[in-house]
This record gives sequence, structure tokens and C-alpha cells, in this order.
Amino acid sequence: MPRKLRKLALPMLEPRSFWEKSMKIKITQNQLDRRQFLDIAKWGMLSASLMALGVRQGSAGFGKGGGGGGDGTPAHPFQVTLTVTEALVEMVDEVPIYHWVYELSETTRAAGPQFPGPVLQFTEGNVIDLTVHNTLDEPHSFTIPDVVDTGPIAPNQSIVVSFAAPSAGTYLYFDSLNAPVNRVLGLHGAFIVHPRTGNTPFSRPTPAVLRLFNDLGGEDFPGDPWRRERDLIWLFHTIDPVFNEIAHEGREIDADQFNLEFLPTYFTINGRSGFFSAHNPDTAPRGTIGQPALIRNLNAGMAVHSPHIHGNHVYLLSENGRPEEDVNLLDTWSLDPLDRRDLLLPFIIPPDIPKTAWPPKEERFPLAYPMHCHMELSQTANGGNYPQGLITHWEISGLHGQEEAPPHGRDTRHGN
Amino acid sequence: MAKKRLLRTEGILAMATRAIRTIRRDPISDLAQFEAFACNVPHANPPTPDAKTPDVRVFREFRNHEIVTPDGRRIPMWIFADPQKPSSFPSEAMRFREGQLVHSTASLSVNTHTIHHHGIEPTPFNDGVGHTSFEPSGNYTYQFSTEVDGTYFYHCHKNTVLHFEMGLYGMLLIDPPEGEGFVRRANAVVPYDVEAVWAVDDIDPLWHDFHHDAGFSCPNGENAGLNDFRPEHFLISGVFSPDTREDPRVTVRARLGQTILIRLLNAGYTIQTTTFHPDVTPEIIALDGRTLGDPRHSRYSRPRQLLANQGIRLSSAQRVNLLIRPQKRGRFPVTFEYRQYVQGDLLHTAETFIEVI
Repeated sequence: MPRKLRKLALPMLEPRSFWEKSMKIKITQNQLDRRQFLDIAKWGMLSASLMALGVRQGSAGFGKGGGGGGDGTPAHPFQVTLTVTEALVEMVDEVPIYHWVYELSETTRAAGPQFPGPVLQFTEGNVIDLTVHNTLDEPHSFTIPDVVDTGPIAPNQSIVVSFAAPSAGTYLYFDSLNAPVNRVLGLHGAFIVHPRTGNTPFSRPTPAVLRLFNDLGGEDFPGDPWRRERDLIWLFHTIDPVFNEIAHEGREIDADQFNLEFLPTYFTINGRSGFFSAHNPDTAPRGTIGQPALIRNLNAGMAVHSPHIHGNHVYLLSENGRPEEDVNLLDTWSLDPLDRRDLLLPFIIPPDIPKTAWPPKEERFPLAYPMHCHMELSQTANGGNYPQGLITHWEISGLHGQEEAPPHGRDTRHGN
Repeated sequence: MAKKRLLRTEGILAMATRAIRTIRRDPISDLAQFEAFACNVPHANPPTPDAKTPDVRVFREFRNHEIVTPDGRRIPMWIFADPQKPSSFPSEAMRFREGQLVHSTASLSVNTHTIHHHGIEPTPFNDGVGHTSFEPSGNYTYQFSTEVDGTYFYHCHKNTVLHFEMGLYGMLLIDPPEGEGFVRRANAVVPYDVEAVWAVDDIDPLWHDFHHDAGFSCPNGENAGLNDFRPEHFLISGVFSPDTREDPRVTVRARLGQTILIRLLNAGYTIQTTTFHPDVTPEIIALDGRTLGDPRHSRYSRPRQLLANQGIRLSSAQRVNLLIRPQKRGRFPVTFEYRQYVQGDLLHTAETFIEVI
């Protein structure tokens, strides 16, 4: 019954997928001057400074540790070392799929390969000395469009780039080579920048965003203001194991063929699917009424997603780093490949519970609701297994004042 | 595990291996919880918790149905029907007024299904999602209030990838307290004269012979091809393209000076762009059942006049309310582009007309 018409024989030349946006990265002369090429001995020395700066396993970069002065100039650049390596990533049905991944390197022990890559978090203006070491057999890179680009790193070579954390917001870092192949085979992660001041997650919020955040905790949103420790990341991704297997065999993948023939077969949020993303504390928001949470959406994959949330509408705050002039209240939003959209889950009383039936007596807290992609093909795994795809749950644990707001983890590492 | 790798050295292929680490899936901490989520959702027909006396009741029963394509092909469908009415696709619309307490009863004689009233935000028992509650196999009454007027829809949320495609969906409209013929715009309620509801859908006929539990078994189901959707038919509110050009269920007819309200839903699995002739360029007044600029909850947004020829791009389940006040007479085309959700290929362009007399 299912169609099996996968042909992977002929390299196709035209046309490149129109979703794949032009990703030509401009490297300024300044950036080029600051780029250094290191041999492996120096790479080891540089990564030694990581521990001293308090980078924890699984995520890197904290605004506190940079010794930043009031003028925004840190005394010491942050040192971050990433290794481009390979791993077998077990899918929701335990099928292991070969991936290329970034690994955060530490001195005493390896953090382990991560899928997606480690969450990198900084404060606006922080200077970062990033070392990227490529242990694979083909060139790889580290790119944040309009922020930094290592350019191609040859096999068994390292590159150091120094750059400043840009305006506060949500960014995707990825390997931009052979686009979109290297990114989609696993070389991507979230890069988060926090503002130095203010009560919003942005450096320059629009008046509408500012009004909303000023209103949190007030009459219309009884409860808490926005709290950074409740922020979450939803990094959406698609996997077609046919191409991962080609990479596993050490064969080159033609980007045009990849664009034309990619059939999403596994769908992940933060590297997990279905039951596992629904019950992961770093992915599934939880709190009482009045404990809003910022959720940073990123799409590293190949499909246009249509995330839909039950229980509360969400405020769409920004699109691709730009705070919105009009903050729309939505239950479904679009997320194109490479898109980043920040939204606020207000944690209000679900509005369509009859007032006379609140608080519920015969239903118990926590009240659990799904958030899932409504392009329902994304709810599958390996062509079936609904809903083992792009889904998580969120939970209202009680009335406001019943519990302290739980922080949400930021370690989106897959597995142990 | 080791990776075998072909190394090319002076024209000779040599085998080398190197260790590849594995990122393991999380362990299943509670097998019953896993199965209740993934492959063995509990079946139940409980009394509605915290039930109150409703202002309005609606009933929907599961029915098999069939639609016929313009070239005579018969496509099996599943629908929710009002027991008092004949079968239709899309399923019979629900219509309420803001501020009502609703009891929506599902009567399911064939297998299990649920009703999720999409965009309505009740308690989990009344949300119609099996893995956060249960799947009814007989009768269950969903309770909710219609707190915010706007354009919603309802659909089955079991094996949704298949059941939504099969036709188990219908519109759910909530009028402001003034009733039908009125719609909220920013901080006011304004009248309209002509209403059109466009549920834009796509059908892959191969899927319509699938079993309702396709792809399921514990712990892991078979590959049923439910990630491989290749639509062959393109519809608006149950009317096949190109019949959408003439069928009065889709076409709009208004007199000069009248106000047109269009409620647009992406009810498919394609990315859809709707573009109006410049002489009927609409204003967006609501998204997903929330009026732009509504001081109650949406004062951070404003209604937005589209530019001439600016398309409205919707992904699955997004809704938009559009207000049109035509300034001249004529027969103005509206086009609907359906694009594949990965490659972006243009699969079809449907068309209808707004006729201003």
C-alpha cells in the first residue's frame, strides 16, 4: 500500500528548493583579520580555558562570567570549543540513524555528542572566541547568518573565530556548507542572546512588545512578570534516513538531489519525538496560572511547520530576530526552514472553561494540553506511529500562588 | 558500533573503521504511560466532569460518506453529521454566539474518534485529545463556553494525520452577541452583508482506503506511508477545483456598497496562498479566532489592510477573517495556490470569483 518510489540515482541540477533561502554570508574584512588557524596542539590549549569560565556540560556561555564592564566590553572573551563529529542518534522507535553533530569540548571529559548541538547562550556584546575542530572527512563550518561564519574547515583542522554576541534574540547556528545538507544531517543548534537590561527578551522591543511585557503581572495577567529562567526552546527538525545512510557510507550528497527528494520520516523537537518530547522537562512547559513562559521556536529542518497549541493562545513576539510591530494572538503559527519565532505562552486560565466550572473539581491538576504541528504528516514516525512526531505537552499545575514558578532547563541535549 | 568507511588511497579502496558513539533514546520510565500515549489510548465514555446546564446543545455522529470527483471518481470519506441532517463534506458546521455554555455530544458507533474544537480552550477532558484524556467509543459530551467570537473549526483528533484528511472536520463559528450578520473589528462590532466560508483542502485518494488505525501497533507501528502525502484533488469547502469557479457554495455575490466577510481556513496539508484581485483587496481583521485590536486580549495588534495583490499564506489549521468593501462593480478573481510543504512545488491553483453587481 505505501508508495515506495524513492529514487536516489541521478543527481538533479534544477531547481533548488525555493524554501532554501539565500544564505550567502558576508564576512567582513575585520572578521577575516581576526580569524586564526590553529593546529591541534593549540586547540587543546584553548579549550582548557573553558572550565575556568564555568561552562557547564551541555550548554555554554553565561552572561555573568565574562567580566563585562559597564560599557559592554568584557574583560575576557568567552572561550567555546565545538567539535564536529558523528553519532548514531536513536529515533523514537529506537532505530539508530547516523548523524553529523557538534560536540561541546571540555578539558576533563567530553560533553558527548549532542543532537541538536549544545545551546549557546550569551549576553549582548559578549565577545566569544569560538574554536571549531572538524574531525570528519569533509569540510564543515559554523555559521550564524549575519553574525559569524568560520568558512570551510578542512578535515582534521581547527579554526578560531572571534565575534561579539549580536542583539538579544534567538539565532540558529549551523554548518552552511553544501546547504542544506550539512545542517539537516545534524549540524545545528540554538544560539541565544540575552539583553543587558529591560523586562523583555529583546534589546530593542517594539512599543507593542513592551506594552505586553509591562502588562504581565497586572490586572489582565494576574501573576508573575516574565522570568528568564522559565524560557524554553523548541527546535524543530526533520530527518530522512535515506540521506543519513549515504553520509554513513562516506558518499557525497548532492544538495540539489537532497532538496528535491527529501521525504521527512522522523520529526523532532529538541532532538526528541512524541512521548519523549511530551514528557521532557526542557521541552514541556509547566507552571501554574500566571506564570508565563517565553518559547523560542527554531526550524532547522526541511519542512514548513504549523505548530498549534491547545489550552491557551500564544503571543507572537518576534520573527527572525525582529520584534513584531503588531503582536498577534494565535493558536497556530507557521515556521519555515531556518525561521526563528519567539512567542509568549501566557499561562492564563483556559478561556473557554465555563466560569462556573473553574476551578475544576472533578478533573485534577495538572491540566495537560498538547502543542503539535498541524501539518499532520509531522505527527508520524517512520510513516505511522501517530503521535510519535513533532509534539510536546504543556501543563497547568495549579492556581496562581500554589507553586513557585519552576525553571525550565536549557540543556536540550539528547539522551544521557 | 563501528563505521565502515571507504578510503581512497592511490586508487585502491581500503576499509577502515572508527568508533561511533550512540545518543540513546530516553528509557521508557512507565510502560503503561507510554502505551496510553502512543499506541493504546484508553477508551472511555465518562460523564462530563463539572457538568453545568448548557445554553445550547449540538450533536454529531460518525458516518461513512462518499464524494465524486469532476471526472467521476468516487472517494470514500468519513464525516461528523448532525443526526437530523443529511451527510455533507466538510462536516456540518457548528454556529454559536459569544458567551454561551455549549454541550457538544459525539455519538460514535464505529470504532473510536474524538472531537477537538480547534481554537476553543476548555479542560483536557473536553479538549478531545486521546493522549491527554481518552477516546470515546460511544457517547461523550464535550463542555465548553464560547468566550471569544471568531472563526474556529472542529475535527477528530485520533490518528489525526488520517482522520482529518478523511473529512472528519467542520467549521465552528462564534458570532458576537449581536448574532449572525455581525463581526468584531478592533474595538467595535460591525455589520456585514455577505458571508463566505472557505475551507481550503487537498485530497490524496490513496489514503482513503486506509484502515482507521493505519500505522498503529505497540510499541511501534508499521510504515503506512502517512508521511507521504500526494494530493490529486483540490477543494474549497467541499467543492472540487475547477468547479469552485462557478459553484455558489464558493463564489461570492454582493451588491456595490455591501460589506463582505470571508472566513478562510487551511484545512489541508499543503501551504496555501490566497490572492485577491486588487479591486477586492481585503483587510485582515482576525487571526485564529482573535480579533486584531480587540481591547479584551489583543490590544497589542491592529487590523491590517493588505496591499494590492498581496497573498495570504496559511499553513494547516490557520484561520483568517477578511473584510472587503468593494468600490466598483465587476467579476474579480481570487486564486488559491497549493504548495507542497517541503519542496514548495506548486501543486495546483484553484480559482473562484467575487462578483460585485
